[in-house]
Amino acid sequence: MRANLGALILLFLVDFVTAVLLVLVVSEPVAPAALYLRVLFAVLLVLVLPGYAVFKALLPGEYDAITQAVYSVGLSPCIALIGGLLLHWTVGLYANHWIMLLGGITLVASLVAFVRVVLNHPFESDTDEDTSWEINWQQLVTFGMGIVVAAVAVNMAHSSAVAQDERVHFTQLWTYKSAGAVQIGVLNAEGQPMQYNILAFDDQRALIGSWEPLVEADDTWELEMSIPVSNDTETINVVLYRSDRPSEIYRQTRLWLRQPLTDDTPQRR
Amino acid sequence: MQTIHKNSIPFPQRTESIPRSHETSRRAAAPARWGRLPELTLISSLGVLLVSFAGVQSRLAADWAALPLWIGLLVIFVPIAVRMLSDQPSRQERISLLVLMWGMLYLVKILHSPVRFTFGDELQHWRTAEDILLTNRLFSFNSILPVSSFYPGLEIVTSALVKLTGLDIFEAGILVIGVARLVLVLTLFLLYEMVGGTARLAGMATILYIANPMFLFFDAQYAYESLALPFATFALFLIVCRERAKGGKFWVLTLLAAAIIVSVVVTHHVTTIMFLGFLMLWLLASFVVKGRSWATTGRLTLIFLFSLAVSLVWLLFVAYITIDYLGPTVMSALSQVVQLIKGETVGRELYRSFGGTLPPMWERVAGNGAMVLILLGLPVGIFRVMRHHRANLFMVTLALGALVYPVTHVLRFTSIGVGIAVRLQEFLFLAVALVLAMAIETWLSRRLRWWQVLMMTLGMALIFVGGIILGWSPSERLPGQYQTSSHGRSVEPQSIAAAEWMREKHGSDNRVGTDYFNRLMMGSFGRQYIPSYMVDGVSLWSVFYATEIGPAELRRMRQVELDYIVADERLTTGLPVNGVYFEYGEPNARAHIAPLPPISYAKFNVMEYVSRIFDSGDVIIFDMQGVVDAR
Repeated sequence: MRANLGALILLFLVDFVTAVLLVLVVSEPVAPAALYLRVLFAVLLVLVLPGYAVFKALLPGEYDAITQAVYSVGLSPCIALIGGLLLHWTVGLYANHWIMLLGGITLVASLVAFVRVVLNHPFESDTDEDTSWEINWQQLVTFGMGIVVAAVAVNMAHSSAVAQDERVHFTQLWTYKSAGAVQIGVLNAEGQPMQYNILAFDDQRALIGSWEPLVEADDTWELEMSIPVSNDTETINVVLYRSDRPSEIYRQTRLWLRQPLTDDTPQRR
Repeated sequence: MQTIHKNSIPFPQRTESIPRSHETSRRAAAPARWGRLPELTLISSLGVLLVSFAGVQSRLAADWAALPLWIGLLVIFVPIAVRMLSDQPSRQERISLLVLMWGMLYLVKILHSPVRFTFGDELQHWRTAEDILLTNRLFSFNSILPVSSFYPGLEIVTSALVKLTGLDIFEAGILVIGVARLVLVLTLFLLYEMVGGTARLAGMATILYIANPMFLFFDAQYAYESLALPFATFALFLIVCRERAKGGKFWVLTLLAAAIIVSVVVTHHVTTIMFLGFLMLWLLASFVVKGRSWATTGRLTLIFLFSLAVSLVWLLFVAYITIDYLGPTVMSALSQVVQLIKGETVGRELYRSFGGTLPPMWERVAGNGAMVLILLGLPVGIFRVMRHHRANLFMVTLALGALVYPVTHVLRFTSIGVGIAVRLQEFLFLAVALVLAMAIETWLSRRLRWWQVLMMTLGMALIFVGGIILGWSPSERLPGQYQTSSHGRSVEPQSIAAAEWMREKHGSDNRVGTDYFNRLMMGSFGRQYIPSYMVDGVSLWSVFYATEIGPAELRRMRQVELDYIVADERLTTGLPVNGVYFEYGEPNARAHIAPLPPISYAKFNVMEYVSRIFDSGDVIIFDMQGVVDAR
């Protein structure tokens, strides 16, 4: 009887989590606490609760914690997967359809489980629970230290990966045709503000534009330039110099303004 | 030693009995049920800290970073393995230790790539997941792994999580794979316990399974097998439960097993094939095992036929592309094996990476040692199965499955077969682990001396270390600075930024020709269409290898209506770690001895009507529409 009471309480919690999640998804909260709660409850709804409710509805006897855990986390992804196929063939995999599907399955299954547990169905196992979750304070402290050390390890690895990304420095230069104009742009990913010197030439090496933008770190500089009207101009060549290395071409692009009239193999130029 | 009565209990329930009347003693004994778990949690977390330290040093290019990695891995694995050998832990402690091992080893993978997916396969599935999220439908075309979108099980679960939580695909993927690995570890324990009869044997067998070459990294990555394999073991667990259930429970378990089998089929092709193979072996064994019943054979036949029917329906009506995807690889590997046997080809040098490097001598010794130890242990375990469990149908089936293990090592002598041989390990170890645990149990039946415990510990550690060496190349075990065509080291900010620029400025689904890893980034972060031989019937590697673009190269580019070429200058300075610069049909694939010639990319700079539209230093993008669209 005690185990049945435990099952009933768990089933009530399942319904509670589902109902709260439904409210959280529909109301689209912005408060951080509500967002964290939504993440927690949604993870439970996709990966734990449907499996637990279906397991209890179909096999409502008493089982040890490990068996219940395996059925809960084993069946839940399976329910999501088959449910996803059904959504694809019907109304689509939208968030509100997911919540209705998974929430509906969980609520209906937990209702069935509730009735079957109350009715003390004939499938009930004759074993009793021997798992104990009691823990003394020395064990708790040791265990807690282990968790803290693991958390430190994760934090260390995360910081190191972010720092490695930040050590990758580069500048993007681009030139392309769009909407009848030439788009020239620079992205500064050098990790510091950069002064560039940008020169644009035509194919006769005649200067047709020059700019000296100061671009903040992780910022972009963009320019729209009209296409030269001269029929002689075939290409626009853009060269970028760093102000701290003015004699060294740092980036360069070349844009062809016309397409060939024949499909002959293109020549070296 | 705890025992369960395997013929009377249809579910893995309790194995030790504490009478309810003894509540006081029960309460006093409760903390003891955790046994050494708290201490082992602290010790293994120190192992994780060492692994994290190794990663930090590797990112700073320290060449000694592998040392703390190996020490850390051993600190995680060995103490738990030793505890599992002991007869002292309760069932609860053994299960808790397995959960601890699950958590700590999964952290090793997360520490490798803590901010984004970096393995090639992960980006392929990332694209499929993003397609589902953007279209709210399944089966969108994914050019970087077309077969992925037809096996969308993993991505369906991920997309549900993303839609409901607001997490991104990376975070949701980590959660889904974490839960899947937990299911794998726990179902294996319960399965082995039901079949083997004791929690001790089950614990050791599960630890040995965890030591398989693919567990640490491959089956922890965001890819379809990482979810399908737990589904498959869960299905086996349910089928074994079902064989022992009666009445209503039998039908309920049949229904649940059927649902899980559908999930396996919808999630991964190779796991489905292996699952069918195992069911067939199980069925065949049911004909020969002493004391079998025709009812058992009949029930297994129905399960097998159901699984086969679902697989065929999915293959023929949804995922027909699988045949084109798997067929050539399997046929090439078999052809190489035949050539090897006939002496028409020289075998591949074991352990030499596709980038040409050999691992340190100790790694080769450990890898061979692990193989030899397993090969020596298998006959002992199989003998024990045949002697003591020959009426146990599932156990006999596993023993038969373990016999395939030695055969797969022939494939390791071929360049294509080595991939298949390694990829079979996670399936074969389902059988190998239990058979090896049976071999260990031969000695556990008597009281062990300290040196015997030491020898067994060393043996299990060797299998674990050797497995990692056999399964994952040295440079890919740790994060670090950029390497050419390397899982974990080629996905880096400059290429990602180029892919994102492409998506922002030129939209998605442009046809982009590029190298192996930039295609993954252009296809995922950039959402571009990447032409390939499998889909378009045209290989573009010759466009890069040619010293200049001639009519043949131009024809190829026009056949695939190529829009852009993405060149990565770093390919001209290093050998590809995974063996290819572009794709597997390229010259010297898996046997490169020199970097890509600079002319491969330099020729585009001087071609008429080819615009060099983007330059970020290493990554250059050429607009090819001027020559490809010309008519």
